[in-house]
Amino acid sequence: MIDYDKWQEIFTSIMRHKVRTILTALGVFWGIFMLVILLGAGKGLENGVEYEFQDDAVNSLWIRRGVTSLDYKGLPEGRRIEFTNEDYDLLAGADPGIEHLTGRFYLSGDQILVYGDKELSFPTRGVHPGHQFVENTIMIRGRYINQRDLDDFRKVVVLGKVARESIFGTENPIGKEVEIGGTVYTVVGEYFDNGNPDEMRVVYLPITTVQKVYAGTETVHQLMVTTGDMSLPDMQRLERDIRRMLAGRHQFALEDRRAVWISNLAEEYQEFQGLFLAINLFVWFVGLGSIIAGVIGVSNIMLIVVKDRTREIGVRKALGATPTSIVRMILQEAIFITSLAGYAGLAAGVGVLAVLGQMEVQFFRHPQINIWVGLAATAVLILAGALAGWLPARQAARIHPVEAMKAD
Amino acid sequence: MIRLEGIKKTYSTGFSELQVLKGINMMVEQGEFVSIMGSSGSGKSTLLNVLGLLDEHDTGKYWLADQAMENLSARQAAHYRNRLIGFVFQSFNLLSFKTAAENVALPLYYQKVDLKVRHLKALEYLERVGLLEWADHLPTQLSGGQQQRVAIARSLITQPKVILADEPTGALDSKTSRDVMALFDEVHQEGMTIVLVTHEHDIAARTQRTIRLRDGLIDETASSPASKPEAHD
Repeated sequence: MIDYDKWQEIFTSIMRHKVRTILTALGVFWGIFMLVILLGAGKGLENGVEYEFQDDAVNSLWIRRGVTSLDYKGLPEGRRIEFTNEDYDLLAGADPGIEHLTGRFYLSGDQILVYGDKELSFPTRGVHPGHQFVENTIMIRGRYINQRDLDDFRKVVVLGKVARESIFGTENPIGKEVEIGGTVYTVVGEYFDNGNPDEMRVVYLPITTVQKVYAGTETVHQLMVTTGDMSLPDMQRLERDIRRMLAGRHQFALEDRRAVWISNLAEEYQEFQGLFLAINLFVWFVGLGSIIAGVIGVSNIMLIVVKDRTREIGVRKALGATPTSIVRMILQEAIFITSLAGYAGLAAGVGVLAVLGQMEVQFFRHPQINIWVGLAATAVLILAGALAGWLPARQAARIHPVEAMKAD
Repeated sequence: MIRLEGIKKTYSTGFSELQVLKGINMMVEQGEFVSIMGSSGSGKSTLLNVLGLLDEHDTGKYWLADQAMENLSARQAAHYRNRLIGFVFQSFNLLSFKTAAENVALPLYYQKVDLKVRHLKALEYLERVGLLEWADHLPTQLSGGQQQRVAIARSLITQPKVILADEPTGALDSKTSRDVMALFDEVHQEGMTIVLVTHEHDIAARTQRTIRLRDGLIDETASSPASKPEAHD
């Protein structure tokens, strides 16, 4: 049951003590607001980095050519290591844990792509079918490069969404012919890729075709493997195996890290996960700090409020208020103000996060908070305010009205 | 109306004990207008606090409106204060954030009287003390005399059995004091029992009877004898 009269009395008190009300409210508002912003920003950072990782398969090894930095079996240092299709075949039989495998051939310089009267330039790569999975490529229409393209040296091309838009506009690209570096290719697919939109400017061709048309060799510039659900230690073991196989084939020292570069995305991801843990701990530390500051602020103000009201308490007692009714009045007022302020802080914080979420910033996406965490923090502040008000209010309600009325 | 028998009250302050009331016996009849006088330290404030149930006496017996005030809980004391006693203080003690009307109505809030009824009654009592036009003013917008009249209206609104006034003119100039005393006279004429604490002789002289306190006891020689109340109806 709502005691209208009692609330009327409380509202009168709140409305006519604006400074006191605002000071009490501000402590709670600020504490909750900052907590929401902090937690939200932490989450946004985490979401942002995770989004960037979506670009590539997390469980993957990227193998790049290097230059030897150690003498090995009479071979001098400074020797350039080159990969060929044989390295691809070597890795294909390396480990049953390898899920997908691809080589990559970078065409030097952007190749001019001609369609009708359009001449455009895009980064162009020759790849194996497994590349689709390494890059987490999503087909919008058509198909990706397949094994038969490679076997038959077909002149087919897969375009990224951004490239397709610049070349074809709204036209359906499938089956159309484009000229790349003087050779005519048929468009067989269009893909979408998470992450940086520039990734969707890349034009993919069958690696064998590229080797034949542009290089005349079996050179492969880079090799990538995905490892499915392989654990991190297994991946590290695989990384060592691959290094050993390549060292054997290309005759370089096993400890020569510069001959072949292998980066383990899972390891990097793991490092980011560790970073998130640290960020989360930090955010919570600061967040709890702001809550504690809020609790102290609210408690202080409640102490002052009760002191400020001691005379009023005396008068009310003389006029017939029971001690219980006085304590209840002060608490209800405090809880009302802190609840409202806490809610406002929560709403304002979520509002700011929504605005931040609109911004296109790298490594920052969808800042959000668990609403229960926000509500729990608000509840803590309300409870703290109530407790901080209750103790002195009870004390004030106990002292004799005469003494209370002497207070200033 | 009021009967005290052997009221004693001791205050302990740290290690020392101070007996303030050393056995007070007194009677105030229905409809009497009595003043209590005494130098500071005579115990007159303590006596008023005991009478007003603002403080508890240690030993002795206290009857107010034929009810024994013994071992009262905080709740009971609050109830009796609200129903039986109207207070007027030296420093007015109006709540600064409430208007004159809201201040007058406050005792009725603790009787759970409806807001509208409360307000109408407050206006009625403000009119009686001549401050109807000031109903919506805050205490700070009123003069001292006006504030004390608002306080008197507040003490009357519950139609108590007795008005206890603690130096009601102490903070007022002599002209305003006379106005306030005239108002007390008026209230007394209507049959209210009034006990007024003062240290001013001319104020005490305006009451029917003066009880003098000295060192926690009633100074019988200096006090006027308990008189039969005049009939006022």
